[in-house]
Amino acid sequence: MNHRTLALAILPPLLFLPLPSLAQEGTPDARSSLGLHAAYTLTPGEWSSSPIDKSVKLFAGGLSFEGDLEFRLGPRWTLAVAGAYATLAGSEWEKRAAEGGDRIEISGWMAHAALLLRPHVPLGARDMLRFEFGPAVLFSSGAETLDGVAYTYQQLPGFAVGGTVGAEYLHLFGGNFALSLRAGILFFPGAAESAYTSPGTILIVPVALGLRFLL
Amino acid sequence: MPHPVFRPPWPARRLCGARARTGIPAALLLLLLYGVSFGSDGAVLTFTLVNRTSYHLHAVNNNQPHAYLPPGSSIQAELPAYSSVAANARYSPGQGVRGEAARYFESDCTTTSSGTSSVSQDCSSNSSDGSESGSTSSHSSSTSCRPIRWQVTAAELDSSAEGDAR
Repeated sequence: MNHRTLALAILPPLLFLPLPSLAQEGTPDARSSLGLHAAYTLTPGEWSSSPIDKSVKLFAGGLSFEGDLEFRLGPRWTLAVAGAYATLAGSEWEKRAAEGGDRIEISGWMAHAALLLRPHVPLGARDMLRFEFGPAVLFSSGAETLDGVAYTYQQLPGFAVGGTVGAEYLHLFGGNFALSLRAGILFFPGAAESAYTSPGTILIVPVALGLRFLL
Repeated sequence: MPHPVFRPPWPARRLCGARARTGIPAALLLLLLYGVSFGSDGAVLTFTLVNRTSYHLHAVNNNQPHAYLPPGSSIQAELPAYSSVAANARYSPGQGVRGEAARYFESDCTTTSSGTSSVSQDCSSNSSDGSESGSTSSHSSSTSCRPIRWQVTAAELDSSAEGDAR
C-alpha cells in the first residue's frame, strides 16, 4: 500500500473523530486569519468546451485571485468567508475560428463566494492540513464579438448556487505568517444551461499558492 | 353644507348643465383611448426561429443575440403585441462555412372590443348641496397575434454567401 492510498484511507475517518483529541504537544491550533492567493483555475467538463468541437476549449481557465477571512471556532475548526475572481480565456477557440477565416473576440469572467467550514489536521510543529467544504454561489458572464455584434453566452449563468470542497496545506513561518498551498473543486449542478442546450454542471478547479496572515 | 375641510376645490355643480353635455362625451373618449392604449390585456407576439440547417447558427432577433444555436433547435421570443421583428441568422464561426440571412416580419395582431361604458350624474335641483355621482362599467378588449415562425434553411444562408462572392 503506497502513501497516497494510505492517506486516502486514513484521513476521511479522522474527520469524524473529535478533532481536539488529535492535538499533539506543540502542534499549532486553528487561528483566525486572512488568506490571499493567486491561482491557476482549470475548467474541466463539457460546459467549457466549444459547442462545435468538444476538443477545443471555449472557456479555458487562467490566472485568478482568491481571498478569504476565517474565524476560529475551536482548536481545530474555523469558519471562512471566501471569494475569488477569474477571467476566462477564449484564445483556443479564437485561434480555431481564425483558421476558418472567422475573426472573433471572446471575453468572459466568473467570480464566486463561499462559506467554508474548515477542520484542521496538524501535521507537526509548523505544518497543518486543512479541509474545507460549504455552499458557494457563482456569478459569471461572457460574450463573443463577431463582426461587431456581441453574442452573450447563455451557458454562463449570471447567478448559480452550488458547493465546494477542498484542502489546504499550511507551513507556518514566523509567528503570524504561513505559506499556503491549496486546491479545491467548485461544482454548480445544472448551471450551464441555455434555452437550447441541456443543463450541465459547471466545474471549476483552482490550484492556488499564497500567504496566510494569522490574526 | 359640507364641512369646509371636506369641500372639493372645484365648484360643486361644474359638470351640470351645458358643460355636462360636453363632459360626458369627453369621458367616453377617454375611456375609448384607454381601451386602445392599455386594452391589449398583456397580449404577446410569439416569434420562433428554427435552425433547419445542419450547422450551428448565430442569430439575432430584435437585438437579442444567441450564439451557437444547434441544428434542429429553436429560440423563442415573446414580444409586445403589434411589435415588428427584425431577425438575422448566420453560420456560427469555426465550421468552415459562411452565409447570412436577414428577415423582417410585421406583426399580425387584431384587437376586438366589447362591453359598454356609462357615466351618470345627478344634476337634479335637489343636488344644490353639491352632491354628484359618476360611474363607469364593463369595458374590455382583447388582442390576439398570429405567431411568427422563421425556419432558417441552408438555402437561405447559402444564397447570401453566393451573392457576396459575386
